[in-house]
Amino acid sequence: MNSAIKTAAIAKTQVTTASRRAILIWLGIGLFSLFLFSLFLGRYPSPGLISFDQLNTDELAQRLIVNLRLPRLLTALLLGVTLAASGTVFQMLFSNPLVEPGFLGVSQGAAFGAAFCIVFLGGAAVYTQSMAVIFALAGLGLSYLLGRKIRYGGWVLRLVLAGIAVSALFSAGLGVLKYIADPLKQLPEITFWLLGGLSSITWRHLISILPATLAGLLILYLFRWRLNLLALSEETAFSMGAAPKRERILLLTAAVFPTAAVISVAGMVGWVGLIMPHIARRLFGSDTRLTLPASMLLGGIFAILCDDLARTLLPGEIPLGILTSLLGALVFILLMISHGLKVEK
Amino acid sequence: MNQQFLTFENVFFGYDKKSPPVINGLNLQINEGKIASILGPNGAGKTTLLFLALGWLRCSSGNISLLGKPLQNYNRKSLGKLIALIPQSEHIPFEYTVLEYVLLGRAPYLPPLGMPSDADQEIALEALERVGISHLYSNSILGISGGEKQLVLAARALTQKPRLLLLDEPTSHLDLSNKYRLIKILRRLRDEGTTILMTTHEPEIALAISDDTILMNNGQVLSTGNTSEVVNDANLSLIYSVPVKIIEVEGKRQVQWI
Amino acid sequence: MKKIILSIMLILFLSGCAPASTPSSVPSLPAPTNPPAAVEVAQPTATQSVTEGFTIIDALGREVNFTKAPSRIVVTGRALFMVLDAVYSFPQASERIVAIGNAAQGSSNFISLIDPNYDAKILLQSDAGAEQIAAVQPDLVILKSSVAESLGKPIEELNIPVVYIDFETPDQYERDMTILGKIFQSEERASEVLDYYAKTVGGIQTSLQDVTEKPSVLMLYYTDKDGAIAFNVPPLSWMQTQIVQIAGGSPVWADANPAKGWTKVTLEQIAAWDADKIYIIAYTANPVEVVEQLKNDPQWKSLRAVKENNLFAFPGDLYSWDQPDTRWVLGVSWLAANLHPEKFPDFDIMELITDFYQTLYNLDAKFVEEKIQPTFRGVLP
Repeated sequence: MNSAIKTAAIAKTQVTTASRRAILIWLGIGLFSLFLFSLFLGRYPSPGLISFDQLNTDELAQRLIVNLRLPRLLTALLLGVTLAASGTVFQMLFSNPLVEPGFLGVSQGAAFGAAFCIVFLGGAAVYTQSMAVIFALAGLGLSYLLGRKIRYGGWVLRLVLAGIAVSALFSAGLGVLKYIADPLKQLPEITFWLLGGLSSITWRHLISILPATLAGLLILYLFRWRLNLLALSEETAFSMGAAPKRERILLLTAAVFPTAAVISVAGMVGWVGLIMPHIARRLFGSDTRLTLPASMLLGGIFAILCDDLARTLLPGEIPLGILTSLLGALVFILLMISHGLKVEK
Repeated sequence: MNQQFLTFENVFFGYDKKSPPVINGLNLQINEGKIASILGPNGAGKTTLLFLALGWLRCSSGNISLLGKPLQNYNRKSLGKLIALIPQSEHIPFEYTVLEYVLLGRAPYLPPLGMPSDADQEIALEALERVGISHLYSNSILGISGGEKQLVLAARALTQKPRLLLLDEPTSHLDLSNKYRLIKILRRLRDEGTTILMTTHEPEIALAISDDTILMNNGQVLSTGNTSEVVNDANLSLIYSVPVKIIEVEGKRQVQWI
Repeated sequence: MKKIILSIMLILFLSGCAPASTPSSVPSLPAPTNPPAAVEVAQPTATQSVTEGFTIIDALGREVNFTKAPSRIVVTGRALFMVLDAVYSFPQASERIVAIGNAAQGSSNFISLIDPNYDAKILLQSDAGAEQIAAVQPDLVILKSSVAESLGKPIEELNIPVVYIDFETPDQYERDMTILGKIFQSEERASEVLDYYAKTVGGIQTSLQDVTEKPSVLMLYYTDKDGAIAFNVPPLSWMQTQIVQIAGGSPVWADANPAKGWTKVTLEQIAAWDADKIYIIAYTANPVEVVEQLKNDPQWKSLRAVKENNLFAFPGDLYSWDQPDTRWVLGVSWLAANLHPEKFPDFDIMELITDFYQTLYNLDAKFVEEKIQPTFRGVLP
């Protein structure tokens, strides 16, 4: 090979890689700083930042930060990271930049499970969480099984169709549950859960979702380069030494488990999983070796930002899902206007 | 030279239990270091045969062996280092650079969770050079022409350093100049020792490039052997159901449409 | 690779199956991970004097300890006015409550009328979070048990005492009034109020003890949300059903409502029940106007109860008297007299109302005449 071109090429790619790594590090620093900043932000004793003096002298303030703000921020972080990572994985596995982690009946299943628990089983947080996870996975399982029965279309089309059907089923079930729910006690709880929010988060909630989320995220992170292969057709991925069916199931599971877990404590929070991968791709190209960690960081930043607004902007708590949808949709529109979503025609 | 490069022994294959088998009792030998075409009309079962050779499809009975060892006895990574596939087309809606895309071919040489290194990058760049598009390495794959995209897929396959290269209808979407380019590349690869097995429905391509031809129709292999013997008026008219003539022009055999 | 995948899947599956590993125990508070001070459910200023200390057992069975009567109380949540009306039966309420949520139903706000310090109070949004409440520096937060998980727990995490009450059925009234008595350290006052309720309800039950025939009663809650008119029946456990039973009526919808809230019923069903007496409840609309409209409606005209002139608007003043507000005692008294007029020949509604406001809120007849009477809804003077 013409070694001049080769050397130039290698040098250029090294520069690109280095600059991308730098952006990644800056994102990490940004996330960390935002986290620290948010610890001091809130409505106690008045809207805004709490001063160090107050923090040193006021026991209530100390307890507030340690027992309420800290677990809440960590959960927001996990929420953002998980949804963004799952979104990236789903978009790669389905070769479709417009899918969300709640796809395939996962979101609607979780909503149905939680509502079922609130209406019939008393709605204690522990059970609500468990039911949300169980039904989220049931949604995925049903979509998968149904997809195998569908007789036409490729792998992607079958799963998408099955996912739509299963989501619709759970949605209808949710409607029935809302209808028979007690409008004074249960319906507001269900509605609040559906809109998403972190106002009830305590350490117990955070600890309960840690195993599933950390395990899943770790697996996704380790597979971040191999994810590229799994976006290809099955025989092509096979020809490159992959086990496409098995690896796809593994990654789907590793994405859905954490998603179900965070939905179970935070309710339905949308758009994070859709938007963050797009922004990540805009900054880092399409190689998931970089876009996966990037969307994780971006997701964390976005979620913490939205949660800060949710609990600080107004005296009452704004449901988190509303903020993520609002800001997410705005960002999406900006993305579309500025560059156009580059999709192959 | 190991004559037993790729052999099919009494291979049966069907897509599901209810319909009749697509491949019926096939016996075939692919010789090393040659270009072999699987020629036949659409729906003849050519791609099925190709995917059987890849190891992606499993035959329901019979045996397919590569270098004397049955395909299913290879672990996937080893197979990936021996066989590479250039698919007919690929739809990826994400904006990879050409180099990133070609790097994916290094997968069989990486540990399970490994990622390409600088050395792998060099190999990828060399592969791009071999197919003549190294200047496109930082272009987006969504922004290059169809012909160039095909060459990218070829470069990716070459980074696997395969001994057997499988191509699915490689020239069907290419214009004349790109067809020519690809043919030149395939010939050079064959001369360097790579075995090539490709499907095509164009007899001209088979005549132009392959040493051996496997004629297929309706899941059956009608004839296999040296191209000059197998590709003749009678066989072509039979499988295409149209009158076809082979003529010789300046020592080269061509298809003449009547 | 296969082994890695399988073992990873196994780990993931097991970990995902155990999200509910940590049990939640309601009575005891979870220990904070980094306690800056000792964990104690007491005043933020930890005093050692135990002389005045007392313990409350709240609606969820939790034991809450106090060293002295709380003086910075926050009462918040949904459908708040019902709880507040009960709380304000204690004269100490006005001084000791520093922040309340939304005390209105529709445009009526009783608390603003009777609390001289109302304007000084901090008004919380109905969806205020734990931080917002903490900013008020309360030494007690009173909540309904339905928000224990979502709002109560985070507040408890700040070591701010929380007491849960419900005030939704007559039985709960007795329990929760006693709790309030302890909170205000005014147990004689709690007994006073409970005696009033016991006497009134007991009086009704005594007068009805020889009754053999119970008229069939249908209570319908009228809504016209989004322009769609609907009639709803209450669940069996609610106050609306219970006052019908206490007042000597027989609720026709006993088997009809499996849900936990208001359930819509069709006109067909209403006709099928063929109740002796039909009462229309409305919270934001005027029930009297609704009843007038229905009397002129051709379909309603054909109902036996309407023909026999037994379609009534359920009365109320600032708030309708059917709800688990303190005024339910007025509602049940009125209903009993309406269902069995012969048993209550001396029934004087004005006397009842004046007596109620005097006993509960120490408000005289003049106040009733000026402030309460103009808000009367239903067949009232």
